[in-house]
Amino acid sequence: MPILILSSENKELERELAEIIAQKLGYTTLDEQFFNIIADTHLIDRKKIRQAMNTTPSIVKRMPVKFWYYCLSCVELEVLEHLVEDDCVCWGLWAHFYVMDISHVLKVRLIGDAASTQLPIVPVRTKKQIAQAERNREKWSLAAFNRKEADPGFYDMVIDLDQNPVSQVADTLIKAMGDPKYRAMTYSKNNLMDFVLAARVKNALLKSLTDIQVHAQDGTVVVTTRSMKRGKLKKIETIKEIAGQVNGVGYLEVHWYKDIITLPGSQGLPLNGPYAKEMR
Amino acid sequence: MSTPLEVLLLDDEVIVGKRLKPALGKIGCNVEVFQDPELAMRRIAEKDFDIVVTDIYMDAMDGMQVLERVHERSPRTKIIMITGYAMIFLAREAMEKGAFDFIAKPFKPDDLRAVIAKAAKALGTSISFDSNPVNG
Repeated sequence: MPILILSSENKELERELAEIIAQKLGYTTLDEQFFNIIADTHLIDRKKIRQAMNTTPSIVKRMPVKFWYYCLSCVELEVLEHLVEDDCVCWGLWAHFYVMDISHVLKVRLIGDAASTQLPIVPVRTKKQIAQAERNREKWSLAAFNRKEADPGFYDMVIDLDQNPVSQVADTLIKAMGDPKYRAMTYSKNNLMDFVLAARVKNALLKSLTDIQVHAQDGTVVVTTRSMKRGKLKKIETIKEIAGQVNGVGYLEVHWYKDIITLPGSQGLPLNGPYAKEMR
Repeated sequence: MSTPLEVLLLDDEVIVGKRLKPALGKIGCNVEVFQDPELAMRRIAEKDFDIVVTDIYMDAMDGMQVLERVHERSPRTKIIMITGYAMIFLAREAMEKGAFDFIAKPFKPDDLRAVIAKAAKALGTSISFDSNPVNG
């Protein structure tokens, strides 16, 4: 069965829908409570990891760029490790950003604010509040992944909850999950394992380094980085030393780009220009 | 296993059949190799295969057409798609059309053997394969 990932600005609604589906399918659920486990696993303050997942880096908020990226990589790694293990319904962890090309993941964007009218205990949010929350999420997703979270092209389905009751949406999604095209296959499972390996390496490197991108395929890992020319050899050696110790890395390649204007902590790397390729 | 699995392997690259035939033979499969989809389809019309392994991008006939035709003729046959151009939309299309599994090239012979073992199990038989297949 496929993994289901829900995304919306309404946490109450996501939870209600996810729990109905998980119960009907016998799936586990993975939500924001997982942040505490991630924080404890990586010895990070629980509040800090939640802050990193909700705000962009800021010196004023004591969230430096380097630490922010590290927190994000911890969440990505732990969520991916969990998705490999279990059939689950996942929400509130922005997991759809980590599994973009995995065919056995059904990614669903929920729009509308129906839960506020269906659950009397939840205060009705004003349109202004919803718009502000959406702007904050967009800012965060652009900073973290250079993608707009609300972009419909990013999802397999977009469902308007103002037009469809939650119980009906749950039935629709359960039916969709039975579609053979979302079934796990060797290709998609291997892709997911590659993402896990890349996340492991990235997490290990971001603990002490910045400007790191990692791609993995079947044990071959390519790390792309940049630095000032005088720091090139040291950075490449450090990457080789750290990444070489990560479980699952078979062959390692480091691609280095000359950094002309450094944006501290930026993950964006030039597509062309002078570069060096170092092999292990 | 009482009777060997009958496997048809279709790939327009000669090397693929050359490498995989002995690899599958070791786990008790009778493998017939084809490079030409038309010839493969003629053979499929004559004989019921347990498993068909087919490439997707071939000159004479698309692997998706092979999938549809085999599925139509013999619904019990397990069809495994292999391709060097694996993409999410292609994988989903293959599964929707009834493929048993989808594997991206390059792959190790053990990867295919693991999938064949899964297919054998789904057919109600078993083969001796001790490697660690992908879970699921």
